[in-house]
Amino acid sequence: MTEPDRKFEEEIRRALYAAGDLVVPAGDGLNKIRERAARQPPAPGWFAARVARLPRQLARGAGVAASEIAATTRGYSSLGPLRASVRRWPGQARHALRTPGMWLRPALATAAALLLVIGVTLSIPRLRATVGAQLDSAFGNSSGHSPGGALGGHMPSSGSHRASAPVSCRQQYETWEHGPVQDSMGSLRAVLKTIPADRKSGNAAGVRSGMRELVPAALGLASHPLPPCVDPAGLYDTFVTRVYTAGSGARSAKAAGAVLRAAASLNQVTKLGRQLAAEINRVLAKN
Amino acid sequence: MHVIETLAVSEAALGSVPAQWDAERAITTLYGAHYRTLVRLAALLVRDVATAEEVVQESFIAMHASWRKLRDTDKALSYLRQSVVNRSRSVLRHRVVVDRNAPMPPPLAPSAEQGAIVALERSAVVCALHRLPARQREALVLRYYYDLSEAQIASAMGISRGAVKSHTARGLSSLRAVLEMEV
Repeated sequence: MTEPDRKFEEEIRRALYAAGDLVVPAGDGLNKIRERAARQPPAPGWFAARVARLPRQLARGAGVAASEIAATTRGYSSLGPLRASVRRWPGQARHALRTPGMWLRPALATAAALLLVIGVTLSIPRLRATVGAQLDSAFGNSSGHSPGGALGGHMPSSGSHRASAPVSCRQQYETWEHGPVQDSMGSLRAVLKTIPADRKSGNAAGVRSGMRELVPAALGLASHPLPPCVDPAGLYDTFVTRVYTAGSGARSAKAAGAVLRAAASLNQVTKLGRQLAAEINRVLAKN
Repeated sequence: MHVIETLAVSEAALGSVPAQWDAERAITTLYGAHYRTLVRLAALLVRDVATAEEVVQESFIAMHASWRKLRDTDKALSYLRQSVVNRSRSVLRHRVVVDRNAPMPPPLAPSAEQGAIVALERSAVVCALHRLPARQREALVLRYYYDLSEAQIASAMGISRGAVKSHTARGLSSLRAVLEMEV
């Protein structure tokens, strides 16, 4: 795009903003919406349409049933083969049970494969921890919704002695660190590395696209909170919120200057990240 | 408030609403965050503030009615935008028919609302914009006023990204031609 094109686009943008700013909606919009929504008929249009079509569909169904009954009495029913195959099922099942050769081998093969998979899963510690965490969340011990709950937040399991063996703070942290949070953390690290370079070189487009990555990264981090024992001061929550705020600020920014200003707030995010890392190291050194 | 809930509220401000929210809560939050911008968008499309408000309110009511059927609550704002653009288009289409069949004389005494329309018309760019075909105007307003990406414009207008590109390019060149002619 040439320089005059860019200038023309800027001119249009400015004119539209100026024209848009002149429009001030009345303040009672929400009340009007509520009133009109309350006045809406309870039955939605599709329901009324279905009801209107119901008699015709019932008549058609009755017609089909009547013709089927007539065909059955005459011995020409289209359901004949289906009924015959249903009648054959018990005989087939008995035959299969009497000849184990038909099912024993596949059953044994399936069981062996299942045992092999379970064995491999339990022999790799990281995989075991991940499966444990998944089981925890599947059975309602979800960390995303009850951090610091009755069990003290995360309780990473280790196979069969999940309930009996107490899990140390370091183990909880390692499970978290090697868990699904890795992806969000990796993308955040990459963004925090590239944005300062883009900012220095004045690459506003690069900064904007980098900043846009922050919101999904923050949401990813928020859904996998740090075990409370590692972060008693709750620095992680503040960190995630700051990341999110920086990203959403850039997402809603219209001018390049606003994006660069939002990017400047990343310095504080980095600083807070360092504080958090120091806090985690301090807590883990005690344990 | 826990961090996740804080983020959910902020996300709503950006147009995506948690699936567990009821229609009333979602509408209230989206209204607070987006009503004014949507009215301005509609006003730029239909050139009439009262009609613009009507259009946006109808879009909110439609979303309220179909909230349970909304498959992806993350796209609540996108749904609203699309609804506003479609309804604005219908209003313009209806207005053409009404103007053709029953021409109404302009009101003699300008009201406050009329004042806002006059102010809107004062901008040469906005004036020129209204001489463009509807699709080109929509593409330009969504691109330069709403700052949407090509994909978002395509979703709001219900057309392909390629069509957005061509409408925007044609709209820009027509707008330039109209403005140069006036100068």
